[in-house]
Amino acid sequence: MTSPHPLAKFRPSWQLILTLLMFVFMYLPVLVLAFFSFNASPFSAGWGGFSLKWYAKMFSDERMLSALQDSLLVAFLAVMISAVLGTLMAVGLARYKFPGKGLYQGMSYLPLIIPDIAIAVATLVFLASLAIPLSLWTVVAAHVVFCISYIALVISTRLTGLNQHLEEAALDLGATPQQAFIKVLLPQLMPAIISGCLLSFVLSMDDLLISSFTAGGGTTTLPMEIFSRVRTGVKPDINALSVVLILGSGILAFAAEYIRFKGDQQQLGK
Amino acid sequence: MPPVHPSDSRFSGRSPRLSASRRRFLQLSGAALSGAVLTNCARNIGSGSTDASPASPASSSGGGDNTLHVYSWSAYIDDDLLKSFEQETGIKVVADIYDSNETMLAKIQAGGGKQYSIIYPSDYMVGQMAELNLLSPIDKERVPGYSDLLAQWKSPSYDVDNKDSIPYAWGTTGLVYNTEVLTKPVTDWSYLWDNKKQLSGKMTLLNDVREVMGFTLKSLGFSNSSKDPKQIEAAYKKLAQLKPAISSFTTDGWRDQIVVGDLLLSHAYSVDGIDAMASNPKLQYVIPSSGATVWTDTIVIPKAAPNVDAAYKWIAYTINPETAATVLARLKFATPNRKTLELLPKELRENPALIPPDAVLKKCEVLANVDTATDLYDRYWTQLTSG
Repeated sequence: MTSPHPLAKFRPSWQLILTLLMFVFMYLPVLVLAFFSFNASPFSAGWGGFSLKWYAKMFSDERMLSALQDSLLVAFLAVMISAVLGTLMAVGLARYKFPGKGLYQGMSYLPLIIPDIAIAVATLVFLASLAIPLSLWTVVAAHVVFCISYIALVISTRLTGLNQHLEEAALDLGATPQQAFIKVLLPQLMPAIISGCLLSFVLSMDDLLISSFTAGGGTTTLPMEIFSRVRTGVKPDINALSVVLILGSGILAFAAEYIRFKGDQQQLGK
Repeated sequence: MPPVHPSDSRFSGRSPRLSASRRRFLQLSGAALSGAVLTNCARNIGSGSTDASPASPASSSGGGDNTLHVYSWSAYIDDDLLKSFEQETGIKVVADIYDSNETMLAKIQAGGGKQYSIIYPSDYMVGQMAELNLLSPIDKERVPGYSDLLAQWKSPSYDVDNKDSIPYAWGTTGLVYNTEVLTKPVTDWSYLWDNKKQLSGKMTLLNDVREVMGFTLKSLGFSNSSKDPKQIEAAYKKLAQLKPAISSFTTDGWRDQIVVGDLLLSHAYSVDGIDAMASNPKLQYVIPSSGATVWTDTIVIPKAAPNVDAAYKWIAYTINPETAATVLARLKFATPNRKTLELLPKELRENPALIPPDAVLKKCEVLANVDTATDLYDRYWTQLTSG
């Protein structure tokens, strides 16, 4: 990449320009949004001075906060359930042979490519056909469907890179299969489990369609609340909320990447 | 996938008899479950959406006498309203919200609406839901103050005689303009064509086929929901003349630009127009004298409603002039009820932008279903916006 010629250092390569352009393209809108969340004027065309009033307004908006609470609760529950099921699924698929395994494997990743609206309608029709009343739990169940796939996918890529002899060694040395799983396999998988969880957490927070079809009993997730307000005009308190969410998601994503990176390093070191 | 390693045989070979019977059990129960689900499916969906019988066995959710499930826009629900209703009637309200009429309809049709006793569809959606036989007729005697409705909403075109719906709030679609630059007051749609040169590149229209074609039809003296191909073509030709002067077709992108003065005139919903007026006193929202479109949000009781009594109590409570005036004043929506109107704050009540004079209101029209002509509208719209 780096040329030995000293002058070449000062001439930006096309790769650099392309990279910068891509970053500007992706992140400039986010920066503009963050910038205007501090604008005293409710209109983004004019700068009315620095103000934190939209943040104050957002934090005193009870409906918004209760929607945030619902969203967080749904995401936490869905991710917790998916983490357990997804890990078992990934390990099971990698370790065992059973008839229909290929089919199961293909189907387990389907939620990644099926459009949200199809999952949403199918889930609702299914729930209606069993006469299950819609509630927070139905949203959680619907979110588990796609969270499992993401978590299992992340874990299965990690599994292929694992040294299988470690688990066998544990068994040879007298560990029960349960002990080998908990003490040897699980710690090795932990970075993948955590980054899979964070990934699906963010996706669950983001989901509008599946939530709006499966929510009931007073459950309102944040995206549902925001989109319902668009009709009566969106105020910069939504900008403020977006900034808080972007920061939150950014920290989560960064943590996920960091944990994965550490895990890879540890594995390489061994 | 990892290569098959010795431990595989350990697991799969452990007890072939047990795993075979377990597999068989799983297969059988899987088949049984899916069979049960599929038969249930056909039955419940059939009864749940299209010919929803009130005795449907599936209407189990949210039934209890003391809970009312409401499906609404976020705007019409606030915690104070829910609390005071509960205090007054002892009925607990559980509110769910939707973000578009289409989402709401899809959810109801997929069978997810059985718990709701109150829904707030917009005008055209009332017609659509009535066609699908999803609504139960409103018993006017149980709706106090029904006779106080303004003449316009006694029998609106989307629901003749308010058979299935009670109008709750309304607004118009008009023009916002900058009075500092456009000193001569804008009074009618013809202003756009008469002052094409001055407005060139400084005006926007809504990104909505029916609204834009509708006002052009109005300016030609036709109904905004005309189905006559000749009238629609005439409207298209008239719009094509205006096209070079239009900066863009946008539903909310104009607000920032008109406030700072980059735009002179925008086609806008009254809510947004009044909002823009509040942030820049030089702006003025007008309802053109040949009439604008008017939209209405209504309250309906779905056929499958589990708690009809509570639904009527909710209607009585929310359309009660004092309650409605508080909600609508916050939203800057207009009310179809004469008594509510009197209770609105003076600056809203006497704002011709919100409540147009009767003579103008008489000329305003709801966008009605144009069924067969929809394709024609869409074709001209594509020609107009892509040309």
